[in-house]
Amino acid sequence: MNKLKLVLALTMFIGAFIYLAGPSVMAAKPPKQVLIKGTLLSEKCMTAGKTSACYLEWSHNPFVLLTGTRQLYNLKPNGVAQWKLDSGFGKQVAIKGILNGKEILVKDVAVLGGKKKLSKACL
Amino acid sequence: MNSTRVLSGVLTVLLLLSGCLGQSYSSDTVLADASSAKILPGSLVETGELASLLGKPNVVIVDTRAEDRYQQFHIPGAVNIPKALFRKPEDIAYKKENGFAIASEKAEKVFGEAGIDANTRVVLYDSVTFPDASVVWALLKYYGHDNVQVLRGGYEKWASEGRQLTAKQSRIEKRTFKVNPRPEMVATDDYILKNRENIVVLDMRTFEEYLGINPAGNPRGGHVPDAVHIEWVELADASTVKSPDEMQRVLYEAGVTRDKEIVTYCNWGIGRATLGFMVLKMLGYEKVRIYGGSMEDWSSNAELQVHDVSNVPTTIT
Repeated sequence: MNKLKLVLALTMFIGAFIYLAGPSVMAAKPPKQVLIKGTLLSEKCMTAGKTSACYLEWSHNPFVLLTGTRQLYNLKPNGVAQWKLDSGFGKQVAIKGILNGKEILVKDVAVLGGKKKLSKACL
Repeated sequence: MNSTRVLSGVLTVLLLLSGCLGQSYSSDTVLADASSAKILPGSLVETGELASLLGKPNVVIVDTRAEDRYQQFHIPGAVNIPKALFRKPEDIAYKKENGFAIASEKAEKVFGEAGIDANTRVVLYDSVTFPDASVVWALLKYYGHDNVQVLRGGYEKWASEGRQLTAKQSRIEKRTFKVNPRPEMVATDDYILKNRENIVVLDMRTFEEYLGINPAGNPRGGHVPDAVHIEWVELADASTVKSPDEMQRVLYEAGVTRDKEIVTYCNWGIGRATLGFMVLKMLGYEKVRIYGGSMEDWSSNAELQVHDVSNVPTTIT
């Protein structure tokens, strides 16, 4: 009987703890705004190994960012105008966004100059 | 024996959970921020309410758009106080000496001639294209006048609803506007340098201005070191300000939380910086200042470091 009471009390206690603290624990890792720079390419360019020069025809989503330290991030528009992303294709860009694992939810992009290394594809 | 095992198991789980809580981002205040956002009552006025206020005594409607646009059409009874009025050479000189805004005498003259005194309810409006209502909002607050609101949706919403417009200027009865300055609303470059560990400096300009790609007429392009970036349009839209949840999310993601003092800036210290200040105040942030000198002063002082695109990392740690 005493054991049953103890188990009941513990169950209630744990329940109350999870109810009160659960949301905080779940939200412990908030989204974080990051800035990073690199080359804006499309996933297709990456798959084909065309990282130093790519085809103009492949300038479409999904885009990726390849950094100078060879880190690769998938880019997902999140507030940024599509034309701004498009204008950075094949160029050095700075990106502001929310880091979500290896994906960046892009809020803004700025083209840092440099000539586009693009060519017309022979399709 | 079994009970003891159960009990120790439970305690272990609780301890682990407590550990997670201890490592949570910044503070509980931050977590609470995201779910409790609201605009303080009385901050904004809807067009319907403003329509019912037309012609009422002790209500002054201020059109903060450029003079030429005011002269074409404006809300009946509105007086014009454009931002350009606060960018005269004497204002720039005053700001250099005092850190913000316009001289007391000028505030008394401009606001008094607009018919504003201590008993006046002021309703401001601007255009969705630029946050000029926030300039007058911040100046009135700075000089001690709290009874000031902003029309939600601005001129465009009023006009799109087919409400009354006029090109005729109203006769304004002058009042005595007495200033009661609030220096605690303002930050200087010294203040930023001395408090840099405890404040969040918030750059409200475009991403290109922040990075220094567009110096925007400043001696040096870039931003105040460690400043976080939120472009003003991330907080504003056709409804003047975005929904409280949306604004809170943007602020929260950038690390602009209530547990730290926030200092907003732009290029001139009036416009986008005042919008940031106004939004934060409307959301109930208590510790907020405007860096009046903003980038035009910061970048002019060769002793102050400026960060630009070269400081943007190529690795996220």
